[in-house]
Amino acid sequence: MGEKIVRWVVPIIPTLLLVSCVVAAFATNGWDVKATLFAEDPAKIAESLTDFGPAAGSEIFEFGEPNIYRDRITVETGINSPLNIPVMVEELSADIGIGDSTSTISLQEPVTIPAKGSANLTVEGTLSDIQAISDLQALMSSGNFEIRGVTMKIDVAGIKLEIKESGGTTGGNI
Amino acid sequence: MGETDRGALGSINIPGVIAGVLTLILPFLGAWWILTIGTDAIVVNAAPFEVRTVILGNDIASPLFEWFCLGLKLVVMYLGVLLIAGSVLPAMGQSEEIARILIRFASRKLFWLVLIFVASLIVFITIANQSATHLPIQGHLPYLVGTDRVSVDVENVGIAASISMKLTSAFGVAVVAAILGIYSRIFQKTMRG
Repeated sequence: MGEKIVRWVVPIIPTLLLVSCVVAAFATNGWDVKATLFAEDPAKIAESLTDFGPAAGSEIFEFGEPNIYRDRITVETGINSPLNIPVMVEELSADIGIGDSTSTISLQEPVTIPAKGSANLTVEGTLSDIQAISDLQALMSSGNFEIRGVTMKIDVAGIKLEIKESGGTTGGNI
Repeated sequence: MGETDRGALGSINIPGVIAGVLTLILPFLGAWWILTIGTDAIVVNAAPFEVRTVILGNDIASPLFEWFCLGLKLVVMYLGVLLIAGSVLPAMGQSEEIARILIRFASRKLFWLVLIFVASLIVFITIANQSATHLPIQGHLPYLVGTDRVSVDVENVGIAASISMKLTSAFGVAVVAAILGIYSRIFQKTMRG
């Protein structure tokens, strides 16, 4: 084989390999530019990463009705995770305003929510105003109680997320 | 071992053979550089032949990029074969000029690939750090290797995460192969001289 041919062929082969691979990428995806550039629709990927709202099929948090026994108040909270990885709720607390009094309820221990799954959180606390307890049923039915000052700390695979919501929410869901 | 065998072995470009073998296996050694945000919230495994990005358990892939990386993988293996061939051809009684052409073509390509890879990462990190100064972000990305903590505070939401970057042993192999590749070119000149 002549040196001239080697000198000519050697540098061409890498270019041919790269061009062939790019052509193969388009050919194996039916010459569809979008399908060749992205394995999945970027909009769907973005949606799966950020869809925390009702569009995901359910609310992230579903606060149940408060249960009261003596001066203890307990709220069962359902939590739905749209993420593909487990999420740990390290801290969850909220102030419940019943009439003029305010009580703090908090999560007793961290809870892990499985990937794309749901878990029940039990937040509980002590009512500060005993008088409020007797009025609670009436206040709840009138909607005159509110959840405010929600603080939540979440660990998503090492990313610590802290959400503080100072505004009030009357009724059941956040 | 006879005089002829010893003479044939003496005309083998040993650094070129080692560089060629290392270059040939390089595409199978995995990522050169790993970026991790959180424990595994975002993981980027990068090498010139593959970039795998996993964000919150979602694998982000591009068929075009994967095919292009396959092309680069084949090109690097081709360079390895050229280095080996160029290093042993004189010992097999083949044309020294062809050996010289092969070594001259293949010896510095891996070096440039390593250099471009590192430069691209530095440019990317610098741009990210510069952009961060315009955003409510505390902390900055380490350069290529290291760990730092980054936090973002926006209204009622605070996000904090550790960011770690490391170069892998595969990158070390690439650097050694690149240096040996350049040395093989110098070695070949001394053999001819």
